[in-house]
Amino acid sequence: MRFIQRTRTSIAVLGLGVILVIGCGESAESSQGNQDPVAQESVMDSEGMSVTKRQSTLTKIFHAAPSPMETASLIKRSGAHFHSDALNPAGQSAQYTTSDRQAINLGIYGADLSYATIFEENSTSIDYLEAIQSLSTSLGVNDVLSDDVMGSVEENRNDRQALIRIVSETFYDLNERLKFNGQEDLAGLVVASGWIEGMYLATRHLDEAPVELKKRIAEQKLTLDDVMRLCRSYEQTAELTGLLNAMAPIEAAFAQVNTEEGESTTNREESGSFVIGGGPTFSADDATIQAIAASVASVRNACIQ
Amino acid sequence: MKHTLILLLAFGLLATTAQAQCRAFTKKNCMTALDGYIQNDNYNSAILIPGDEAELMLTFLAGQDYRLVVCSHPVLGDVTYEIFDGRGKNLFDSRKGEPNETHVDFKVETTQQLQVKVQVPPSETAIMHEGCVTVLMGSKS
Repeated sequence: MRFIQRTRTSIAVLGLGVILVIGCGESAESSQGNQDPVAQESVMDSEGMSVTKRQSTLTKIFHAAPSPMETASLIKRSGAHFHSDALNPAGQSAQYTTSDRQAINLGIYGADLSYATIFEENSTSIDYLEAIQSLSTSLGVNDVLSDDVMGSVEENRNDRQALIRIVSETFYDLNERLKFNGQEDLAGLVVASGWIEGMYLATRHLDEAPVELKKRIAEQKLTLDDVMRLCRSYEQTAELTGLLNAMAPIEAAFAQVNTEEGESTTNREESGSFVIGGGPTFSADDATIQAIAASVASVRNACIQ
Repeated sequence: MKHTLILLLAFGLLATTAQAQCRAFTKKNCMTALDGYIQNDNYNSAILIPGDEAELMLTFLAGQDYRLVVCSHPVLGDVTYEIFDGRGKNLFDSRKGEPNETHVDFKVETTQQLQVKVQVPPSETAIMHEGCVTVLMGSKS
C-alpha cells in the first residue's frame, strides 16, 4: 500500500516537474513545427550542450530594440548639445517604491546615463550609475552593479570608452538577469521607458536642433516599432499594458512620418565589412516633429512621477 | 512529502540550470567577439536542436558601424545565418564563402529594419544534441 502511494506520488511529482520545467523555460515566442514540451527537460553540461529529447524543430523568434546608447550616439552625431536640465534628477530614485515604477525609472535613468556618458559628462554619469545601483538593488538584481563594477567605474571615471563599455555591459546583464528571473515584464518596462527617455532627450530644444537631428527623429518610427513588438512579446501585466497604451499618442504622431521604400544594395569595402545602401527614407514636417516631441514629453513626464 | 519537495526542487533546478549554462556559455565564448563594439542591451540566447531556426528583426541606424555575431555550441555543427532587408531581399549569406563565419561587420546608409535568420543544420544521427545559440549585436560610431 505504501509502495503504491509512493509510486503515485512520484508520478504526480514527475508530471508537476515537467510542467515546472516548461514554465521556467524561455518565454520568447516560438513558431512553426510541433514543439515538444519536453524541450527544456534535459540539462546542458558545463560546455553549453547536452543530449536532447526534443525531436520536432521550431523557429525561435528573438526580439530586440536599439539601446539608449545608440540613441545617445545618434543625438551627439547630429551636432546637438548636452542639456543637463532635460535629465530626470538622479536624486529622485528613492521616490520610486513599487517594482513597476522602479523598472520604468531604471530605463529612464539608463537613457540619461547613456546620454551623459556619450557626451563625456563623466561626473553626471557616476551620479546616474549610483541611482541605477539603488533601483536595481530594490528590484533584486543588485549584482549587475556590484561593488566591483562601481570600483571599476571610479577607476575609469575619466575614460569615456571604459565607461561606455561598463554601462553597456551593465544593461545587457540587467536585461539577461530580469529575463532569467522570469521578470520579462519588468525587462519590457525598462526597454520601453529607456526608448521614451532617449526620444525625450533627442527632442529637447528643437528650436536649436540641427536639421540632421530632425531627420533622425523621423527615422525612429522604426525603433518605436521594434520596442512595441518586443514589449508585446512579453507577458502583458497591467503595468506593461498600461505603459504601452500610454504610448498610443506617440505611435499616432509617428504615423504622420512619410516613408518611401527603396531597393537595398550591398557593397563590400576593402576592410571586409559591408555597406548596405538604398532602403527606405523618412521625412517629417515641423508640425509632425513637434507632435512627436509633445507626445513623448507627456508620456515621459508621467513616467518620472 | 519531504521527497515530493526534494523532487520538485530538483526539477526546478534542472530548468534554471539549463538556462544558466546557456548564459555561462554566452559569457565565456561569445562576448569577446564584440570587443571594440558597444553591445546591444538585449539578451538573445536559446537552446536549439538540429533543424531549428531563429529569427531576429532589428532597426539599424544610419551612420553606425555594426557587428552581428552568431555564436553557437560546436555540437550543433555549422550554424549559418542570412540577413534580409525589410522587403525580404537577401543581403548577406554566411554560406557564400564569407571570410568569417561567426560574425559580419556592416553599416547602413539609411536607417532600416533588417531581419536575421539563423539555421541550425539538420542531423541524421540517432542521438541528437541540443546546444546554446546566441545572437549578439554591437555598434560603434
